[in-house]
Amino acid sequence: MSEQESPVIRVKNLEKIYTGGVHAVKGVSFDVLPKKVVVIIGSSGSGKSTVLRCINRLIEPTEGEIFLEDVQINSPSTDINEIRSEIGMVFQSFELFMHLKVLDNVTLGLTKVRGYSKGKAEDIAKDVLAKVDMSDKIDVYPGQLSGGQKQRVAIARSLAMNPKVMLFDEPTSALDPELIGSVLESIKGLVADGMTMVIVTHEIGFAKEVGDWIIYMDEGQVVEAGPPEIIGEPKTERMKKFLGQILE
Amino acid sequence: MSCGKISFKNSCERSFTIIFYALFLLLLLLFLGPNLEAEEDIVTGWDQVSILTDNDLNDVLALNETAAFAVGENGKIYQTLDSGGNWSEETSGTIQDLNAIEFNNQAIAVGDSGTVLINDGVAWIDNSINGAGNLYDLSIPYFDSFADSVIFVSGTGGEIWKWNNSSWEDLSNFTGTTNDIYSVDFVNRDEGFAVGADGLIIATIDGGLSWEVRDSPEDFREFSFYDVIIFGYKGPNDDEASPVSVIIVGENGTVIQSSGTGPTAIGYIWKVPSENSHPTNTTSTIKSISGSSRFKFWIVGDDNFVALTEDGGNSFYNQSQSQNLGSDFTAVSFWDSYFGFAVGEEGTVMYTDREGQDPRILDTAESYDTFWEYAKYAFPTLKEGMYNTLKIIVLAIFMGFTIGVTLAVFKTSQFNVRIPLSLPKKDGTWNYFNINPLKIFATIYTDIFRNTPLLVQFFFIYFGLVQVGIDLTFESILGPERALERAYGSAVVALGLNSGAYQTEIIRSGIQAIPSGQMEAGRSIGLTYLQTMRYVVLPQAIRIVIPPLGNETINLVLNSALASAIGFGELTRRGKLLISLTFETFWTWTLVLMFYFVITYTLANILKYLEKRLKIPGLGLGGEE
Repeated sequence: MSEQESPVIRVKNLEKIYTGGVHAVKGVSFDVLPKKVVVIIGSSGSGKSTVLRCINRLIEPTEGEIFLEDVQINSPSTDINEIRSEIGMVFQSFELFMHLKVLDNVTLGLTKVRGYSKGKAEDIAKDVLAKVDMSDKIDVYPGQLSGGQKQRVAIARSLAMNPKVMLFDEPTSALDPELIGSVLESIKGLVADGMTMVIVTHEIGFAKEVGDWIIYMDEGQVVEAGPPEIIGEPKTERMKKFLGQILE
Repeated sequence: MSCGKISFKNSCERSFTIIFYALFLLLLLLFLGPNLEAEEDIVTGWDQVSILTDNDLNDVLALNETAAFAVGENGKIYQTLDSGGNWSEETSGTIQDLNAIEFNNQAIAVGDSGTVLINDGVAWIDNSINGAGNLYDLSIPYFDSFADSVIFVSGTGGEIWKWNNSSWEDLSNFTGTTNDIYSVDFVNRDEGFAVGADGLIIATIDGGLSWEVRDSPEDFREFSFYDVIIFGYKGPNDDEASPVSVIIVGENGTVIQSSGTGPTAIGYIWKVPSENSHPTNTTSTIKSISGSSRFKFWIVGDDNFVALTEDGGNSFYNQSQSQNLGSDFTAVSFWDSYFGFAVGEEGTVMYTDREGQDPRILDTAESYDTFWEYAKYAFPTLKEGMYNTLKIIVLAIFMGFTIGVTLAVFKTSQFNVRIPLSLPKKDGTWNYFNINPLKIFATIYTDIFRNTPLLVQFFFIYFGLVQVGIDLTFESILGPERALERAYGSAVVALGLNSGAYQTEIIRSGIQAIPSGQMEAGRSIGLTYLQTMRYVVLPQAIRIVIPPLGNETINLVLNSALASAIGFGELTRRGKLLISLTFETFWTWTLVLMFYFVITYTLANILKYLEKRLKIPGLGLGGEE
């Protein structure tokens, strides 16, 4: 991590305790540098989704600070809506707006948040949908799409807002193996275009392929972190065990 | 037809917008259109001039065009000198119920327990009959002074008493009956009729010393008769009148008339209604008759029955007033064939200076032979009523929907306010609890309106609020010209507020059915909470709850019938009005039911169409690809 580029996302000592006492995240810190892809892996319940959702404040951190460039995201004085328009998020369950056509799903944010005219919004939307290879489905409703198609539209929806960073919360976990490929291709395309990303995923192979920095979490803490090579050479017992299980 | 087809995208949205604006314009037109007069202000043939008392009035006597006496329960005697505008109570000196009052130089009233009161111009003097039972009626064929007069009174158990200058003679043994005698009338000192319970009719030609039964016509022997009047004729040389015709009224809408031909005395030959028609068109008991001749007279009775005939009883003008629905009339008295008073239960009094005829409507209470004839007659009134119903429900539906969406959003919001409790704890932090004031407000609102009867809410808003100064005519906003009829404004507000509560719960359930991921996704692209609600959650939520919303709207239409209870002229109230004018209960209510069905069925179909049009392709059971 060189000193000249300031991180797009800084997470410092993040803690999250849910009401009821579950201590999901116990002091996590990392930085995300521009144009780099950070991949967080770990078993269920390790707190990785929580960390991701704290970044765009869908979950309120209990302790710690998160920064988007130089703005502290979790300070009460920040305009969270503005912050969120700079951070794109892709969900495991796609969460497309089912009552709107594909094109409208993508233009909604552009017209209501960015304030673009309908024409301009549609142009941007069509470009972005072409990038994820969904140009032939722009007038179709989400209910009529397959899982992989839905996820690609979801990626387009976030991408259209031209965010500074995109967050992916297990983007392929809800998909059949045959459909995963197309989504991964789209994500790789974004990487090639230089998008900064944080991805939470189970796809270890994919992590090795696109990740610049891998973080392995277990029980709310960062166990190991480093370049993709650490997957080949896990140092801790926990990570070895985890990878052993995954590769089965 | 589904909105999924590619080319339909814009036109579907557009058509929905068009429908919305069309409805909105319709709303505006109805709202700003000419307002109906309030039902209470219609000019009718009779004026309501009631006396403020709970006592029933039993008889009335018109003294001239503007003055009258009314007597009633508990010894009440009232007098008016200004056509009923003001009534003054007389000191009667008794609390016995007074049943009848007559006038011939002096006014005399009779009542229960032999009470007889004579007015000498200053006070009411007690001249009660010892040993007499309840006295129901009197007749004064001759009166110069109390010491020079002939008075007949009738009462329970077949009693008849005669005052002959100096003392009361008991003629009860000569009547030959123990039936209650409800009415007596003498056309001169010798000839008179008495009628009473169970078809009793007796007549005398010798001043009451002997009485003969006159058989009532065949179909009328079971009914009790409550009033008799003899119309007489006084020639230029005659001291006293000779009888020309007697008319008797009673139970079951009975009016029978008798006349003599040639030397036959009256009371043997009866004119009865023809077999197939019942000219009074009612089965209510007729209690009293008064008139100027045997061709023109008025009759009043139970169930708000007031009618005038000008052809001797072949046909009647029904003069019932809708304000007196449910009242029984007990007596009528006319002066000079134009000016009359009618009295009834609980201080009800009506006055007319125009024969009781409504200057606008001259509706003969014909009996309608077929349903379709009646339907043709009733249709215009009911159609007006239906428009009024539509006027209420359209506004109420929109009001309810607006309230529903707003409060449903309140109830599902996370707008927490922290209120510090007491003092800070030792370590400097505060004890506080979170409340959501929006949610609390919405909850209180829905609890109140869903846990109280709608009818009572109507009464509260219409009768109650006006007492504390809120009268819902919106005069301050609309100006005196366009101000709403008070009942209309109240009905819309009551229905709207009530429906709003139910719609809140319905829409809230729709919102809660939407996965939280939708809100997350919306917020993630930078939409605010309200924007996400408006563009993401609500469009989906409302589509889900169209069926229960439809249910609620239909309920609202049917509940609008309650507006009749506060006097607004919607469909149900028009039905009631028609019945009070024509007595065609069965047919009227059948028609009203049919009208309501038409309204709700149309509404149900509109909603079905809406549901189909708004269906999200590919979503939910029953959706096609």
